[in-house]
Amino acid sequence: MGLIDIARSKSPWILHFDAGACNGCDIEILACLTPVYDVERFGIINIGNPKHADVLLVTGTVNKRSARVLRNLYDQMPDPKAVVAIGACALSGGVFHECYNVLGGVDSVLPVDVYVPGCAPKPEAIIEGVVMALGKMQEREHARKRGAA
Amino acid sequence: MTEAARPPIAPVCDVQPTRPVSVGDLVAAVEAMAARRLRFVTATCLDMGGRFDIYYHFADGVKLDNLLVTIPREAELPSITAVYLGAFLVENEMKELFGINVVDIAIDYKGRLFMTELDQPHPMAKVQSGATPAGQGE
Amino acid sequence: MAQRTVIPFGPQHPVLPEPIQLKLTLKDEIVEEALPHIGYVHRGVEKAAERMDYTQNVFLVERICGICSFIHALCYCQGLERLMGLEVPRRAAYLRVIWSELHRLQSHHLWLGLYADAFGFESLFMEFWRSREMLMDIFEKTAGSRVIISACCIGGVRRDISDQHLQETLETLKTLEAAFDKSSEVMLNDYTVKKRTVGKGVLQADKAIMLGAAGPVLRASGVEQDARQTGFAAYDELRVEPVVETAGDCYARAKVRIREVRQSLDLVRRAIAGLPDTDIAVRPKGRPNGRTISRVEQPRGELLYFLAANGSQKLERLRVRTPTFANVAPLVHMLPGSELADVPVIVLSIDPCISCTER
Repeated sequence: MGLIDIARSKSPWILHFDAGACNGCDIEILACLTPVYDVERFGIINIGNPKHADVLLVTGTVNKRSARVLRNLYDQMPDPKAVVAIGACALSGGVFHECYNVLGGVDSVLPVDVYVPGCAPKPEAIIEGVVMALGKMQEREHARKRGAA
Repeated sequence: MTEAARPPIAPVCDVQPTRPVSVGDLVAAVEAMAARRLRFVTATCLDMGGRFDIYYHFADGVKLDNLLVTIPREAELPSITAVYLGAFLVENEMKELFGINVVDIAIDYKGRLFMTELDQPHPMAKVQSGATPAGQGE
Repeated sequence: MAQRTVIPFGPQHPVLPEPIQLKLTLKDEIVEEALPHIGYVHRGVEKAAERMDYTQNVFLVERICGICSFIHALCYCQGLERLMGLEVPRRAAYLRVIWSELHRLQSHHLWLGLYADAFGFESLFMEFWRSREMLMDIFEKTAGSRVIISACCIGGVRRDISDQHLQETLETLKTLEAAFDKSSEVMLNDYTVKKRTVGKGVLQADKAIMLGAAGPVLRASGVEQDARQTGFAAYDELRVEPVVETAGDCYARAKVRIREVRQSLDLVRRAIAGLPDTDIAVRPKGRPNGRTISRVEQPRGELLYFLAANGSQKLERLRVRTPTFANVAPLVHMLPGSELADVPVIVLSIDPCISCTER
């Protein structure tokens, strides 16, 4: 494992986007950063800039207007990257799946690596989701390197 | 208890006081509310099939005071944003979601407040006017 | 030479947990015009409420806002109870007040933290959010979930709070108040905080009324209006005096919320002390019929539900007017004349909840 791989898995920077959530999951993501859960001690930082981010956390259902923003943010993130869908709405549309302005879950727009269920998921579950996404990201990167060699 | 066994209950109507006004008198009635320094709370639009019932709610201290306007489906509705600017969001919402032709809104989103031109227009309306092609909804 | 620039603020912005866009027209560093663009989190809850059964709607309206979910459910249930002629048992009314005020405490802590973060005071943000976790623990203990507690149902509340949990709640609130004394002291008296908030984003009382402001934004401008004065749930016995400040700037809005935290602490204590010993719910009979308005006070201001029913299984119309929906117009009025660097602070000072606004 090279230096960059170590750095990436030891200090993943996350980008959070609310594609149409009720705020419950968003606030739980923020709660992960605060003293009780304190993910910053693991080197995880919530960053506003997609160009600095490794993991994209998406909450909420997707509509046409937010899908465009979501797609933009995803495209601006450098490879390798991972997407984590958080909460019942981001998984399938949840309680809103029949609403007229809902396209469905995040996977209707982006490839999703990890699904974190719950309404709203507990901060512990969100942290585990990010850790799982890092594992997947690394596996993918190794497979790519083996393929290139 | 089975559904059929449930006794019918008498309708309650406690949206009080409500004063019906005609479309033509709406702006004058709203101006009278403004002269009393009432706070504009919101408007509620009900699609009754052939007509729209639109309530305007105002707060008089802790109490509410309401106006009720009834307009036929295709009629124009004057904007009250010249008196209460705060009504611009709700009027744009009625225009987009119900397809009411609200005219002269101070900040007009042209029926694109919540959704894009690709979406089906007026999702809250009970009678869908199939004649309005997407992108040209009022 | 003055130059005009248009800067899009959002939809993805570090100070906003939710997407909203403000198109700011600037003349050098001064904002001349602000135009809000929303629609990133619009779902169509009002339409879905017409399609679902009126009992299922309780779960839907709770998910309009994940910060004050209980108060949304309370407002909806209260409206339906009026249409169905139900009298809620007193213990349920008191429990509703306890959970509502705990939600207000939680929401105000959340806001105070985010607000501190908006002017770059990160350690204060962490302090408020550390205290907030105590409240989340109370929710988890008494209702089984941290965020959407689903404790309210038509006719009362779904579960009781045991005496032991009530005692533990009182103990926790004591710790919370001690922590709050320290952090609110910084928010009110720190020189740098005052530099960023005093005199920024001023809203005069007259303008607040004409633009239809709600909640702390309205009260910080000196208007004495609080929906809890109408005496819903158990507020008829637990009287509430509106918290009023007169300056109308960002500092006054923070001060109103800080004083409301103390008021809520007092209300929870009074409600626990006076908790009557009755049933916690009545069985609903019949189906809702008629039109009614239900109003409650959310942490962000007055929440209004308009319910129309025709005696069937489904509602004819459910209109939701949330406080942030009302506070957008005052925000558009406050921004012109301020510096670009103050925009995040002023936007945060109305406590925007976009998922409420767009539903």
